[in-house]
Amino acid sequence: MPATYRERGVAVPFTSPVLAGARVRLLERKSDLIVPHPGGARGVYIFAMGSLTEFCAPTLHDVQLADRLQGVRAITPGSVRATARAAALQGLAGRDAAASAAAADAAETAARLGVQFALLSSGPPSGAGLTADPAEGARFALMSLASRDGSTPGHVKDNLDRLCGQIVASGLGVPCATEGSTQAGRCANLLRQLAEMEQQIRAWLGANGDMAAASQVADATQAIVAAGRKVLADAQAIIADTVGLFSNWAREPERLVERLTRPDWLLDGWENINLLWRLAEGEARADASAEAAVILPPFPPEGEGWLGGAPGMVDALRGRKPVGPMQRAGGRMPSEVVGLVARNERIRALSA
Amino acid sequence: MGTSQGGQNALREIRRGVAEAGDAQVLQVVRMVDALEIRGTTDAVLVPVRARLRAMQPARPLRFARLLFMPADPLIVPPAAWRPGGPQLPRHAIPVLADAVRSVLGAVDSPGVTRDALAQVDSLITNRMTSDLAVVQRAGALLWPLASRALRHLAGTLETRESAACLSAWRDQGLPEVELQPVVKSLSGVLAFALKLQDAGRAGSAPIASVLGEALVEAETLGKRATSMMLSLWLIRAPQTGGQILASAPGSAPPRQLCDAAADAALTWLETESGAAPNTVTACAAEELNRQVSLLDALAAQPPGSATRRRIAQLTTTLLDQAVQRFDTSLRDTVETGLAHLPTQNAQRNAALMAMEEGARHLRSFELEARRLGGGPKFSALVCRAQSTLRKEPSLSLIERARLVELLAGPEAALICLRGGA
Repeated sequence: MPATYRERGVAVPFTSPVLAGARVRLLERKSDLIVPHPGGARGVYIFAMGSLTEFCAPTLHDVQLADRLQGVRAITPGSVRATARAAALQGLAGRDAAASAAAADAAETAARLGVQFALLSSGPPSGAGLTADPAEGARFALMSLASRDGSTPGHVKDNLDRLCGQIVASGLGVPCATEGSTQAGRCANLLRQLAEMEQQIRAWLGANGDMAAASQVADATQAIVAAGRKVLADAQAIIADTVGLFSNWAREPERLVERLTRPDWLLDGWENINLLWRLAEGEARADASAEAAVILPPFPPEGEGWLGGAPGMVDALRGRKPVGPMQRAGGRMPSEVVGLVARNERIRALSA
Repeated sequence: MGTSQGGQNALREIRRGVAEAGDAQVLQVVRMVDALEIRGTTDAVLVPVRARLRAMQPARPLRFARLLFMPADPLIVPPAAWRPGGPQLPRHAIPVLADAVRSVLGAVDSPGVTRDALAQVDSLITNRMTSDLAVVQRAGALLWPLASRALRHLAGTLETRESAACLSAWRDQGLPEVELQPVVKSLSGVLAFALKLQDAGRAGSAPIASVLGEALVEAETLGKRATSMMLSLWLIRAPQTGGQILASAPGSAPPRQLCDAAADAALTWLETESGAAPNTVTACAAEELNRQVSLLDALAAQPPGSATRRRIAQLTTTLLDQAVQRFDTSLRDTVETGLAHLPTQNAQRNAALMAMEEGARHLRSFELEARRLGGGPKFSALVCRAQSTLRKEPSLSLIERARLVELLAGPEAALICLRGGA
């Protein structure tokens, strides 16, 4: 078990079925890919990203994505997501995925403005009140910040742009936005969907009898939702303290980013599991939960520190056992891989 | 059955017309026949197109008899093709047995067989079609176990007055009296395992081999016919496991004679299916072909000296020829015709390209399955021709070309296309 999230790596949205649950990590300036055993057996494959085509015959989209990832200097959920979007925009994962990537980029731009406005209007750091005109209020807040730091409003504006970009890219939305709205941010919305998924899996288990893989996915989901809510609440509290936020962004930006990106790291890989379940209907849900159990993201010890004082959550997240090889009716059809690539492209199109 | 000579001639003429009709006209005839309250001999007009209907899978009204016999569908054969003693079911036995099951379910009130359940099934299927899969599943889950018990009850009372009507109707259909009991018992076994047969092998369900083992133990108590019928259905549904049972060492498998009968019935099913293959590659074509090829593989693995060898070789050739033909036709439709009619307006063009991509996926899936029959060079040549057409098409961007090549020929060909810039 890797000790930190960086050692564990970041989930990569490849479309080749054999790369399900693959993670990329950067160790000593080399990008490695870590791929779970496709059949669910214990152990993982680890190989250099550049050797991808020796490991399997990846889709064209995956070849392009791997090439791009080799040029990424800091592997984080945000950087991998941005790289994956750029790859999807090319169109090699299908038109829907390209359109979705373009829409996600546009939504992030809008969300950055929303966060900017919310931060500036949540109370100027100088403590003075806002005027009735929001634009005037924002200008006033910028000037207050600039005069306090001995800087120019332009410089403060650039700084603010970067901070808001970081907040949105980390999946954190506008403070106090309604859950479920686009302003609430990706992490909050994913947590809501995961909570729904857990309920659905439990209802499905109730109707279809016990199944180890589905039970395990439901238990892990319950734990990650509880853990995610705690870590997200911590990150949102940091944003809500506007004075501290600006001050920390100026003094220790790396430390601030580390704390703001915890929810994103914690939830990394779970969007795929949620979509696997959502896209499966009826009988296909048994196979989907078996597939999800194989790719449940590992929980490194680093995460335990983030959840201080919540041993129940930690135990639930760490206590997972391999579910064993997946059963398939009559083995895999030679053509089945074509359908799985299509399904994975749909997941790409639905991903944020 | 009272049809005059003139009536029979007219029926023959209509049947000939239906046999020669195109798919759309056949579907129209099916709708007309299905709309009749009492079908009687009118049903006979569909006889020449039954195999085609199996491939076309049109939605039909979900009637009691149709639902009841769904688990045994692959074994239902026309009266002329039915051989007494074999594991198949003659089509003209369906109304007789469906009426008998209804009669038992309606008359007997015991913990396992209740009139309420029959009313529930009727209410579920009223005005529903076979395409309502959730309804089929719910009604089937209710009916099949009950009907299995009802058929056991019937088998035990065939010589009593209680079942006289069934026996009489059986005779009226020209069916040998001696066949009634084994058919009733076998069908009872098939229906008892219908749900398990459906679920076996899925994640969270029992492995196929263990359910099959359980089914065969049950079949043994019902007679030899039930064993070969059960084996045939498992061969068709799960060819790999069914084939393993057939190829097991003597002593651990059912007697060779029963295995041969089961293999023969499965082969007959496959011959009928292949005779009705559509001309094009449809969305479910790859899955169907996979089942057919897996069945052929399982049958080919039977002990040497089996009488079915020649039929297997012939069927392999037929299926391969059909597959190449179907692939060629659909490839031309998808690529050449698709490109020739590619709209220029953005939204329409996108929709057309997405349809082409979907078609290309179906073709690739189908080709991967078809290659298991052989014919690799033929398929490669056809795919090369399509790639060449795509590469020369000026209206496609490089990415569009590469993507279509990937969907048709795989990622390696697409990478060459992308890196070559053409």
